This record gives sequence, structure tokens and C-alpha cells, in this order.
Amino acid sequence: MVNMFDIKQAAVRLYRDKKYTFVIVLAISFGLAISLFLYAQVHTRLLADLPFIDGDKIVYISRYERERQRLNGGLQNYDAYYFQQRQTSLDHFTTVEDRGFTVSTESSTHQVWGIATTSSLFAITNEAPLLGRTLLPSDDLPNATPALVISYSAWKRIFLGDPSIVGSTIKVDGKPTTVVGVMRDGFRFPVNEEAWLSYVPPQSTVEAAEGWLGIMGKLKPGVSVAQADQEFKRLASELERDHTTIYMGKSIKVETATRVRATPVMLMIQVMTVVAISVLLMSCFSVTSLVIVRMLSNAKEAAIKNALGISAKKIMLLPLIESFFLYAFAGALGLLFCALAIEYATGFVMSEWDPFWWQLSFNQPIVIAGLLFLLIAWMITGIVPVVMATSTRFYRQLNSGKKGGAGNQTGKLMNSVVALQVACTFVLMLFTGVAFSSFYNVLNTDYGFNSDNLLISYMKLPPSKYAELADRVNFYEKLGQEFNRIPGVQSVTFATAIPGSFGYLSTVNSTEIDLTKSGEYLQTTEIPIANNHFDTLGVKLVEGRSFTHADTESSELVVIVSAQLAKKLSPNGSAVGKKMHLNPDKSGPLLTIVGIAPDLIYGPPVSFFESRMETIYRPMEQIMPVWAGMYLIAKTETNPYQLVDTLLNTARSIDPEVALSESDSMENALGSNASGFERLLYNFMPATLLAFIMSALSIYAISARVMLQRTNDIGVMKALGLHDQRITRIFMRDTYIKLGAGLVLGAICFILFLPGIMNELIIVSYWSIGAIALTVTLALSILVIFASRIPLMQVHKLNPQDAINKI
Amino acid sequence: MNTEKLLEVVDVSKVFSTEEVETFAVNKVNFHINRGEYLAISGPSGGGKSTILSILGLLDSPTEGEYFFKGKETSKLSRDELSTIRNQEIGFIFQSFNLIENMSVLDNVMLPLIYRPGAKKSAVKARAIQCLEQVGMAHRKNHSPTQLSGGQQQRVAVARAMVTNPSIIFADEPTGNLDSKSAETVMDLIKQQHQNGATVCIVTHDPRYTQDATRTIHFADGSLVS
Repeated sequence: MVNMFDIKQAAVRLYRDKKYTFVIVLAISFGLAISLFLYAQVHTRLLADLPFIDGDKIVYISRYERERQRLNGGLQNYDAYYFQQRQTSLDHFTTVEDRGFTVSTESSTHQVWGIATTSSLFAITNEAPLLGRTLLPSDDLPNATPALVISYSAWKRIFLGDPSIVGSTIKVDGKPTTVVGVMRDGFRFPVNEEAWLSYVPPQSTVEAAEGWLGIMGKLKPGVSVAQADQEFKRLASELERDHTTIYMGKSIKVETATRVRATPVMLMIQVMTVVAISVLLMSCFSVTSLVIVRMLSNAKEAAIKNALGISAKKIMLLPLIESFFLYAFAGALGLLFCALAIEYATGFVMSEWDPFWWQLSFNQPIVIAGLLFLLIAWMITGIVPVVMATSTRFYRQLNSGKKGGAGNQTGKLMNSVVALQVACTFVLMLFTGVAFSSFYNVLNTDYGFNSDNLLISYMKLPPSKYAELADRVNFYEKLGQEFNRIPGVQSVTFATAIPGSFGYLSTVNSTEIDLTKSGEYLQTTEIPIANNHFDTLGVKLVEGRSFTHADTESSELVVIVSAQLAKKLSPNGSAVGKKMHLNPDKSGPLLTIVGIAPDLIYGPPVSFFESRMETIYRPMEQIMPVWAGMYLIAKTETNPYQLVDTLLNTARSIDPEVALSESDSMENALGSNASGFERLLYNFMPATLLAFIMSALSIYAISARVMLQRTNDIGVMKALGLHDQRITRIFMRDTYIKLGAGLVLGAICFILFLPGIMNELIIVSYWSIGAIALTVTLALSILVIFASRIPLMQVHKLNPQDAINKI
Repeated sequence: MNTEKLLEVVDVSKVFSTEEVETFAVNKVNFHINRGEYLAISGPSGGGKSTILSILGLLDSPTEGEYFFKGKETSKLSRDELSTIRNQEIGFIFQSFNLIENMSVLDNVMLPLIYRPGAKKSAVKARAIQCLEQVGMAHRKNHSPTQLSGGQQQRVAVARAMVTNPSIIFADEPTGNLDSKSAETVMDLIKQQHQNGATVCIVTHDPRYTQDATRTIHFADGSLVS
């Protein structure tokens, strides 16, 4: 039973020992806040359910490559229809096709990200609209008028929240479409959509390259994800027999809609989980070490109480009350810090492109997790030290004059944990160093062209209005001419992809040697471009010529290839003038190579996209898919932002139904490739800093404990004439062993993780990693040695007699 | 004099063992202490005086033999029961005072009573102040032990030892860390406790302080020599 005497004693002791209280409270509160903040992100990405009834039963079906276990594009109409006709696992089977819509009203034109889908999508969610209705089965019929449901944000942005928009007709990609409903604020299903356009579901199993679909549905009652997956895999194997080319080496995967989005960031989730747990454990251990030191320095007090007949249970109460006070206060602070971090730092760690249900919030599961963390931490750091301290022989405490009482076994355990903590800190620091280096490298990547004074914008022509290639070419030529007249614009060009972003993929093969690997064709990025593309980017061809107006639909099909690809296509000489197969798996055409371009980087400059430098460029007068959007790239004489409004107005004057996306400078667009690393750094830098401090605290605590136990020994050594330096060397030996063991262990861990990290995350050379490792080793060594020497230096200040008499 | 045995040791030994050597700190000792007695244990350093006192005070247990406290064989008692006896029947005075620095003088004296079941703080405080008055330290009750001289600290320790009205007070070299004047004062206080009816057992190697004892026993090399 706790009495007021103990409570008063605990409060007085904590108040008197302000430094101890301050350090412990900060260690616990920051440890809790940081680990909880990381956990909140893990929870949001991995565990948060879709905000619908039975949201965990909503599944997504996609095709993937069996060998590489990665997604293999969208499904076509015929296989989606095949699955629809035969599957029995899902209710509300529906197809979804991601699309960027051009939405035109009488007064404005906008680009909106959305999907084409059927009425079943809304049946899956069972969500009622805010205004009007959702899609109905009648909208899925072939002759139905296209219907559009818009999100709350699109309604506010495009229609200024006008409720009368429901029922009115607007143009979507040039087609008259009825706006039938507005969804509630926050509904962006299935990922982050702003518009849902009616779609006639596929109705044929004849193989054709139509559609780029995903399949969604809701598991029937009693059907598990595994059972559905099994059924779809069986159906996929049936398709493999009939459609060998498409399905060879591929299968179908059924996953929950939440898991599909979590999978691409799974490595990050795992790393964050490990870091969150490590930070919490490190905080716990550091606090435990400090509490043990305090307990040991107060061990004599416990012995006196024991001699006075106060039972061990009652002796334990005081430190438990002390630690309870500390944890209650630090826990409240930690939860507050976490809530503040979620409130103000969400923008730094989450992306605007994240799925709509990834809403980082300080909610009930986070608070419960926080309290659980706190309880576990209190049990570890509150009970262990008390048990350790009260397990000492009281009588010897009273007579020995030494304060420390824990045995050798405990000492070994603590030394091992300190080594482990040094190892964790080493890995965290190294990982953060590598992430920082990656961030720096991405920001300073040479993409192979001059990005100064380039303005970019994205547009997509309404397919119905620009169905013919000639119409599309004419539009872009006219747009280019108009833009070229704008003062300050040096040149304008167009391409379906810009360096630093992804283009669509095609397969290629050489006419000289077979480039297939394990039956798979080489994949490259295919980019239709305007004739002046390379000139505008300031890129000189390595060999051959650029495209000209003579390269048309009716002339010979030509291609410019990147230097890296040229070497593969024609390893024994120049590739210029030779032919290559395009999409040989789909009986594609032979193209004549007319030029070789330097290697530009497409996609973020990370190593997981192997073919980022293998690119083929085709003249847009020969190929420009109707579904593909086009980047406008304008070279300007001055700050490109000054021309944004002029460009938008000019585009609108040519065709009001064409919308340019928000314009940006090329520098900014390339810089956004570093945003992933930036978010990584925002997460890991505080954790690493805390780990760094925690390591120092633990080492300090261990050293202080040794000094408590051996001050008398040092006094004797001094009395016998040993110099301080010699004594220091004797006592620092243990620190060097712990430091060395921790660094070696950390290095082994990092080397084990390295292949995975190199493949997934970083673009840092092994030399750079070595340099970072050396820096981290140095920093950590200095910290550990310094922290370890502080208690020793305090003992050195004593004269030999004082050290001998020190109790 | 009362001849009722308060405690008795029978063939008690205490052995400290290392991997190579066994040292008999106390070797098959037999004696008893009667209620109301003032027993002095004397002898040279290393003779086993403090070890036998720690066994008598239930701070340590014998390796062999039996120790009866008020007729109860102590090896059969649990840790909690031993604590209860220490708390209710025994008062301790140590050579190095052993006051708790983080507590005030008053809290130190209240400490043995405050954890007793049903203890009322006001009554405990009154009793502690009464004891402090008896040793002449009531005026320093709110001070920290670190603010007191050695003699004053030992007077507080005497107050703490007598606050529970114990059956016996054990004192282990209570004057060892004191100047002669303070030593006189402390020994007078202990003598006073005996005169008030308390049983006292004191370890000392100073012959001056065995004179007040009703009986003296001598230890050498772990054995009782007289």
C-alpha cells in the first residue's frame, strides 16, 4: 500500500535531483514521441482500414510477373471479361481504369485525375453521394450517356461549390457528359481520385490490346483473400493456355485494397517499424542504465531501511513511485510531442499523392499504442532496476562502504546491451547518412541535359476530338508556333515524357543479336517527341540526325536510340542505319535507327529501374498514342514562371477544351524526385539524433556505475602511485571493447541490409558508403569515449584519500 | 536481574567461502542474552564481533547452528517475519550512523514506525519528536543529516533506535567515528536506555565502554574466548 510518506519522499527526491529528472523525462518523452510518430505512419500505411463498412473485404486484382514478383501493367478488356464471367469469389466485380480527364465547362477547362469505372464501384463502398447520385447500372449500358461523379474537392475547385451543377452537361475529354453527383468531402476511392466516369464494362474474350484495367470487388461472405487469390490464379492459368504471349510467366494476385497500396512502401514500413522499436528500446535501456546508477547510489539507503525492519516490498515502493511519476509526466509530454508532430509535421512525411485513407492523425489506436509503449517501458525501466538494487546483500552494503551492488552477470548483460545500442546507433546513423547523401545526389543528378530556364506543363487532348494522328500533330504544331511568338520564349517542344519522369514502356530486340533474357524481351522507355526536342533540351546527338518533317506516317518508320541501348542493339559497330524490332512480343514493326542520343535519365535516378537510360525516341508525326498525354517544354530567356499565365491563355485561345496542368520549372520537377528521400530524412534524423544521445547516456551511465563501484579502488591505485592516465587506460579498456563490439556488429548488420538498400533506395556508391561509415564511426567513437570519460574525470578530481573514503 | 533468555545462539558458525579458502568468521559459538542485560562484546579486529552482531541483529544468517530470538528459531522465519522482528524488537546503532541523507532528521527517526500497519502520522511524529528531545536533537529535526556533526548524527541514530521501544538495542562500535566528548554523550544515552529497561548489546574494543556492561564476552579468531 502506498502511503503519503513515500509519495512525498519520491517527489522531494525527484525535485532535488533536477538534472536526473530532466534527463530521464526528456529521454522517455522524446523516445516515446519519435517512436510513436513513426508507428503512427506505419499504422496509417499498413493497418488503417478503408473507411467503409467491411472495408477490409475490398480487394484489388492485378497481373504480376511470377519471377520478379512485380506488377505487369493493366489487364485488357478480354481477360477482365474472362474473369468476370467465371469468378465466384467477389460481389460487385468492377473494372477501374486510371485516367487523366480533361473537364471543360463553358468558362474553363481543367485536368482532373480520376477513373473510368462501373456502377459496382460505388456498390462496393456503399457510400451515398453528397449531392445527386452515384453511377447506376443503367450508366454501364453501351448506349448510355456518359455520366460523371465528382469529388468534393473537384466540385469546389472547378464548379465553385455550385449545387446546380448536378444534372448539367459538361465535356469530358471532348465528349458531352452529365454530372450526376458529388461525393462527400474525403471520398477519393479507390486511391486518390477526383472524378468517376461511367464505363461500359468489357464484353468479349477476343484478345485485343484494349483497356488498361484493374479489377476490384468485395469478397463474398465467408470467402477469404487467400481463397479468392486461389480462384483467380486458377483462372489465370487457364488464360495462360489460350493467351500464351501475354500470360507466359505471369499470374494474377488478389490483395486487399489497402495491402496493394502498402506493398510498394513495405520496405519503408519495415524499416520504420524497426527504427520505432529500436528508438523505444534504446530510450528504455538508457533510462534503465540511469535508473540503475541512481538505485545503486541509493542502495545504502535501501540497506538502512532493511536493517530497520522495513520489508523489501516496501523498500521497492519508493523507486517505483519515483519511476511512476517520471513516466506519467514524461508519457504525457511524449504524447503531446507526438500529437504536435502529427499536427505540424504531417506535410513533411506524407505525400499529397498518398491514398486518401492514409490520414495521419493522433487517434485512439495511437494513444493506446502510446500507453502500451509507456507501460512496457515503465515495467522494463522501473521494475528491473528495483529488482537489481534490492537483490543486493544489504548487510554488506552497510559495511562495505561501496555503493554498487549488482553482480558480474548483470554487468555483462548491460555491457552487451550497450554494445547492441552502439550497433543500432551505428546502423541508424549510417542509414541516415546514406539517405542524406542520396538526397543530395538526387538534387544534384546530371540528367544529361540543360534544365536551366525550362518551363514544363502537361496536357492531354480529348480523344474524341483528336482521334486522328494528323489532328493531334496539327494541334501541337499550332500550339508550338503560337508559343514561339511569345516574347521571352526561345523554343517550344513536346514529348510524352521528360527526363526525371517515367514514360511508357515498350519491348525491343536487335536484328543482329537476340537480346531476350529468360524468354523476356528487353524493356525500354518509348518517347514520342517533336522534331526540335533535343535542340530545346540543349542535347547534341552522339551520332546521326534528328527527326524532320519528312518523318511522317507514310515514310519509313525511324527511331533515335539512347547510347546505352545502341551498344546493346549493335555491339560491333554503329547502330545508325540499322533496324530494330519494336514490341516483338506483339508483332511490332521494324524501325530504322537514324540517330543516337546521349543517355538521359528517365524516372527518378534510383537504381531499381534498370532500364532508365535505355530509351527510344520516335517522331510524334509517326506515333503519338491517343491515350498518351504530352509534356510541353518551353525554353525561356528569363525566369520561366513569369510566362505561366501567358502560356495558359495562349493554349486556351487555340482550343478551350484543352487544359494545361499547373506549369512548373524543370528544376522543380526534377527536384521533386528527391522528395522521397526528404521525407525519409524528416523521419530518421530525429530518431538518429535521439539514438546518438541515448548511446551517450547509456555509456555515461555504465561508466558512472563502474565509478560508483570502484572509486575506492581508484583511490588505492592513486595511493600506490599510479598516474591518472594509467588509471584512465585501465578503465577505458571496457569502453573500447563495447565500442568495438558495437561497431563491428553494426557494420555486419548494415552489410547484410546493404544489397536490399542498394536495390531499393539509394544511389550512393560503395566508396561514398565507406566514407559515411568512417565518419559515423569517428563521430560515434568520440561521443562514446567522451561520455565514458566524464565520470572518470570526476573521480580524478578527488585526492587519493577522498577517493578511498568516498562512500 | 531478569534471567529470562531474550536470545540464544547454539553452535553458531559463519563461514565466508571463496573458491580456494573457507574462513570461519564465527566458529561454533554458544551464548545467550537475558532480558534487561547490558552485554558488551569485545575483542581484537577481525575477531568476529561485528559478524556475530549482524547475526544477532538478523541482518545476516549463520552458516551453521541455531539462533533463537524470543524462543523462535530464526532460520525457520521468512524474510518478512525477520523484517517484522527487526522493526518491532530490535534497534540498531551503527558505527557510521547510517542516516539517510535525502531525509530530514525527523523523517529518519520516524522511518521505523511509518510503515507499520495502521500507523498514524501524527502519533509517529509525536513519538519521534519525543525521542529527539530525549537525545537533545529536537531543535535540529528539520535539518538534513549532512548538516550535523558526527556526534549529532549518532544521537539521532540513538533516537531512531529507541523510537520503536525495542526489546534490544544493538550497537556496533557506536563511538568508533566520534571524538571523545561526543562518544561520552552517546554512551550515556545508551546507558540511559538500559537503565530505562532496554536490553543492550554493544560491540566495542574500547575497554572504557565495557565498564557499564553487566556482562562482557570476548571474541578472538571467531571464537568465544571468555
